[in-house]
Amino acid sequence: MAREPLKVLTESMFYVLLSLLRQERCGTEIVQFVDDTTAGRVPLGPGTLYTILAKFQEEGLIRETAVEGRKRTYAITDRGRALFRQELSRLKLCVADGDREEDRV
Amino acid sequence: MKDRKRTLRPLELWNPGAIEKWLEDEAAKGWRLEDCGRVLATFRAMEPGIYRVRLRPQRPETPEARRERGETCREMGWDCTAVITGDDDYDCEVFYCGDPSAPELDTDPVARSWAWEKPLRRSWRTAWVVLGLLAALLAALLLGAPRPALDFLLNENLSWLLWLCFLGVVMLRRLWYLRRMRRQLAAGLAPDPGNWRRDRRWQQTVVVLFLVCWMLPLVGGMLPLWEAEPDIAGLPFTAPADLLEGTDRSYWEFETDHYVCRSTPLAPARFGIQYRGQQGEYVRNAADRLRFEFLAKALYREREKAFRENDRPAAETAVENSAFDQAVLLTTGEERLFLARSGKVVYALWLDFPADLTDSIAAAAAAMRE
Repeated sequence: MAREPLKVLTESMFYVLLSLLRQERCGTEIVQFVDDTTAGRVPLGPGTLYTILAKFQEEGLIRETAVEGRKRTYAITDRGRALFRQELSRLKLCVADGDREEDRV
Repeated sequence: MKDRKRTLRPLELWNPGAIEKWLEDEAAKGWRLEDCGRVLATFRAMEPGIYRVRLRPQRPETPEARRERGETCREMGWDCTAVITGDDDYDCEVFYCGDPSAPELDTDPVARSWAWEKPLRRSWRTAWVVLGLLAALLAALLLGAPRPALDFLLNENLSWLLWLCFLGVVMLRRLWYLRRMRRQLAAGLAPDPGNWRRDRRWQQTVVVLFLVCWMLPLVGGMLPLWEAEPDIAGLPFTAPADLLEGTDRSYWEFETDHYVCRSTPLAPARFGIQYRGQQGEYVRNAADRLRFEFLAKALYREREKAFRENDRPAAETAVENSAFDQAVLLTTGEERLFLARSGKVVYALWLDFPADLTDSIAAAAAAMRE
């Protein structure tokens, strides 16, 4: 089982952090954002969404900012941004490596 | 038509794939899980259809957060209709989804393993602790008992022992489930339903056996197997006054501390009676009618061994009598043991004074032949 889970983000985790980069969002808004951004390529089930949100809160990557009725809003923290940038750099390297190899072919 | 039905609940939550498949089949027949207590699961009638059912461990969270999560899940097609009470401080939520276009409840295998990780680890630890405690308890009872283990087993009502063994089997099975689930989660696989019908039968059997084991001590008095009055009338017995000439019953004192007369599952009739003479000599009779012949052989061996260990070296005299399958007369100093077995009956006579045992042996043979 993944005991050190946040060294590499899965696609779902990446997009959850991405959804909070520019603005705070609640659960349904995050799902909507991921669906729009990926054009439905990355499905985000409610079980996964709330597990990720809970884990990210536990790890200090996001924080809850407001509760209005049943609507809870989340914002990314500095630690979350740092992890996102790190993951983005890793992915860019992956893409660059892939492009380079493909050009050679 | 009934709008509710009750059935035995799943015992283990560590085979979620099998439970999900069972609930999906029930949903196809028009039953939705509404409540799941410690023993029974209650279903409510609904429109039969194809539903996806998923189980998820419930996280510690505030009621508001839970409501908000439930609301979002519902908006996304997943309705939490029931909570299955767990036995390791965590419960399992049951989600139904009738919309084939809705995304899966869990779309990320890593997130799914996070959801199960804590209860899985806690349950794994608890199962090992319970198994360790059971092993220690059994070892203390069987090996640490002041009397031999066989004698201990024959003398006890075994419901508690059955219960302990049964609990051990359940814990071993749980460990097997847990190990399988850990591997599935580590591999990023969804829980495998396997042969869910067989699994369900096993779980139902376990629940019924568990209830029976739990109830047996309470209703033991009504079951002849467990608490019958022992029928010792046909077992051999030698009166001490017949062994020591010039004595009568008033000479011999009945020692209540050494008195045993009971019926147990492995020994339907057994007694042990000891008399102490006024000069300090003793006579002890013990006869056991056992459930199985192999137990009688083992008891015979154990009694012979115990005498040899306590009073060695012992002179051995063969006893020839067709009524006995095994018989021996052991003597060491004044201590003597006449031991005989016929089928499932074992008879032992201890005494510590010189006596002619010919008549006693003949009487025992006659009793055991009958």
